[in-house]
Amino acid sequence: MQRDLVKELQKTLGAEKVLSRTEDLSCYSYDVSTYQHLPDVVVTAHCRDDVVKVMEIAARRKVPVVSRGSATNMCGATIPLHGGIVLDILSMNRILEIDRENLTVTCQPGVITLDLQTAVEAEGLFYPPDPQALNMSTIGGNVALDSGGPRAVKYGVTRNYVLGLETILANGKVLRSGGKTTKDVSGYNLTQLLVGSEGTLGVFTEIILRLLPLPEAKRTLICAFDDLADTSRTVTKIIDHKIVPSMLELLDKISIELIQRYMDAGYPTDAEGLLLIEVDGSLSDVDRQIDTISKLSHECNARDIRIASTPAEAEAIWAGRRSAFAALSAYKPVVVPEDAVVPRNRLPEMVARVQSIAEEYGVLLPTFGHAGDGNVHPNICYDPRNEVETATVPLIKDKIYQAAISLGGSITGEHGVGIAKKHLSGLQHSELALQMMQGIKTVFDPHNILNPGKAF
Amino acid sequence: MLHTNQRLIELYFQSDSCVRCGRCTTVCPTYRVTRREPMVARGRIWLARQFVEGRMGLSPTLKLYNDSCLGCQACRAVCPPKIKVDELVAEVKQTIQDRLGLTLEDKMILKACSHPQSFRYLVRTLDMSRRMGMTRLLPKKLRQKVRMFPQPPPSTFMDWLKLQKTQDTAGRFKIGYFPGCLTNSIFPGIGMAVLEVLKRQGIQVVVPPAVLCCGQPHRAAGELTESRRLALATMNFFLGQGVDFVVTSCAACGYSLREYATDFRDDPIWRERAERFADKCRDIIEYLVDVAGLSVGPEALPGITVTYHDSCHLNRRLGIAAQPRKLLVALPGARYAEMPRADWCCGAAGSYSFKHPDIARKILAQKTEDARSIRPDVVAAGCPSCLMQLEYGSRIFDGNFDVRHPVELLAATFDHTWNDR
Repeated sequence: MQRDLVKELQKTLGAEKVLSRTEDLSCYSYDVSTYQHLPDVVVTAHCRDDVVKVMEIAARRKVPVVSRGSATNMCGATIPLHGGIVLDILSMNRILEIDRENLTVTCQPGVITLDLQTAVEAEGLFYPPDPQALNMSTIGGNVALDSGGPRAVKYGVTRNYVLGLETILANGKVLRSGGKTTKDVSGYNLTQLLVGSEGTLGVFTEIILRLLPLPEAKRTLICAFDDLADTSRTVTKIIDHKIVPSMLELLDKISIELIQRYMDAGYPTDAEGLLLIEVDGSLSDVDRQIDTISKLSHECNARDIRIASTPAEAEAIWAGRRSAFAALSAYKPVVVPEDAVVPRNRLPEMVARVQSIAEEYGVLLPTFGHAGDGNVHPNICYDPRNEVETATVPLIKDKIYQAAISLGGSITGEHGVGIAKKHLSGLQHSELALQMMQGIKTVFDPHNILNPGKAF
Repeated sequence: MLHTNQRLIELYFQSDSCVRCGRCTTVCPTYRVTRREPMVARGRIWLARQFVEGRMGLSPTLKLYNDSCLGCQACRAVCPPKIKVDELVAEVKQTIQDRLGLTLEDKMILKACSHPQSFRYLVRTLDMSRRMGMTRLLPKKLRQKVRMFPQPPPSTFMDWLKLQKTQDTAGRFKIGYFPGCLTNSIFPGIGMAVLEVLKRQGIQVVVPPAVLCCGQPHRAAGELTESRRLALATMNFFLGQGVDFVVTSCAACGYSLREYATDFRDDPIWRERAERFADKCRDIIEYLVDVAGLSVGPEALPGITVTYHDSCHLNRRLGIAAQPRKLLVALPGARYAEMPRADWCCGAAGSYSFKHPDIARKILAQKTEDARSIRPDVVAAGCPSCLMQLEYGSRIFDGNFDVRHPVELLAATFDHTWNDR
């Protein structure tokens, strides 16, 4: 059956677009998650027609299709769990149009996020969503997983920028939804339904994104605290004073120490908590925000407040945060960044819960995250060759999410469900909600061939 | 575990920390031109692990994906847990080779490298047949390889040296110069420039009577007996001359000479001497900038734009990146501009461009495009192998630039006739 499939794909698309050797398949069996499964064949799509043809063949043969960009997701979203076709969209990487009058950009799904940002910034425009993997991830992947990053606190996530999509459905039909208009209330919003659907409803071939004018100025400050509770309390207080920084990141003591051990970011290693804050806007507005934040941090017992005076100084501060994952990797062979989100004002409680879970299991759970939007990443670090450590991983994981749910939060803020959080869906969603999702899935994909076994 | 190679096992365990985060996808030249998962560190590590664990057998495809790594170390520099990807790939290659033996092509290349004097006959013959149109009779794959060679110079470095007056024996320092095979047969101007610049500093220079091979091709191919034999010849000559330093103008040779300390690590007789020798070795640019203190001549270069390409051997293996830029910026009359992705491999990578011409050509096309984007008159690089590749790129992709070793440009500031050479 597999040989037939390969032959038909080769005949229809051309042999150079079809990979079927064991060595090739093996390299498309993984992503950043800990799961693996071999596909039966890999197809590299170069245009919309390629995608249509693949979906037509897959629909007729009822073979699963998993679309894949850079495979930098952490939840197993691009693992071909039931074999079938891995549809590689990396070669569809053209930016089709930057529309300065409508403030939109139209692109193919394989464009690397950073390349898109660089291209629009050259025009004085701004595409804010900034997942940590933005220099390797694709826009298609960002839309499928509704990726977010530090700037979400002020600018929201990928979803808030998707205006229109061209999607190939499970039967190979081309669905166009949305467009360049800033408002549109006709019918159900299929575009937004498709965002974050993890490839279970269709394969994107064209994406229209909303842009903003590039802010005039930005400034960075860093506040050190002797108490972690004070640190998270400051976050709530800043928001309460109607200031929304463009980035608001929290680091706990262990993270600070591990980062400093990895590189000198100028972080004080004896602090219990650290806030890294960037504000942006007009020149005068930026200064006002910085003043207020300094005053508030002071009131919350900040020990040390440092305002970056040059862009280079600001860059040095953020370089430490960006190397957090690398710093943890240097500490333990495997690092699984968990991803819990709670309402902003429950953040101090969530941080405290994570600390007590770490104590209960006698492990280090270095925690950092986009504190401004209530999203925390406790990092489970372990050695896969140590059976005791490995065995506690799922237990710690479940405890973290039970805590998040009990605080009115979610099992994932930005990493997605994929395979990793599937068993936790019931914890967050009611039976009814899950039935509704299943109903939608059936309408889009009656034979369950699009990334089966993912998303909810 | 199927394999008993201790080094491979160690590297395998180190690669436990690959979480496939994908940072390597942002810097890998072979991935940039293929966008295929087995063509990037993440995939190569994955395949190596499958191979070591015995889950994947030896196959031509596995060998191809492994061998198509340039060894440029760009991935290793951005890898969070600093996995030694290039070494892992090299050990897998060695293991495969132990089982299958060297290919005929490899054997021929290594044989030629062992006798670098004969290079010029090879190059001359190729050029002659090219001019007589005889290469048209060759199969397409070979024809492309022949095109890679630039026009050979009228004489080799060694032939030129023999015609020079006896060198004066006085001097502050006594320095040995190791010209290397490509400098001798293809870029003799580099060797002349090295001698010119050192002479200006009042230094006595000694050069081996015949061009020697540094042993790098053999070491890289795992032919350690031959690489040690060549290393001994080099060390014997220079240590016998009692030189203060040994300078190289080829990044690959420079790296190779310093590796002698590692090559003889377990050799009780040679260990100490190899260490002493390796300690004396400096790249010419490193010597001029860090040891001697940079001094440029009075002659202005006529308003040219110069850019610099980082040779991987120089930049990542020897950590020399700031010095050549410092030298180029100091050149009177020239404007220095940094090109995008200056530290990306050009695709030469030893004999890589001969063994994988299709990938190397795509990498070179991108490299040439990056260089062209700033419209340079000269692209400088500290390695003849890169220079040969860049010259080929300028020729076939309309790069419209010349290639020079930084030391050649420096020599021109002392004597303007250098520009015409």
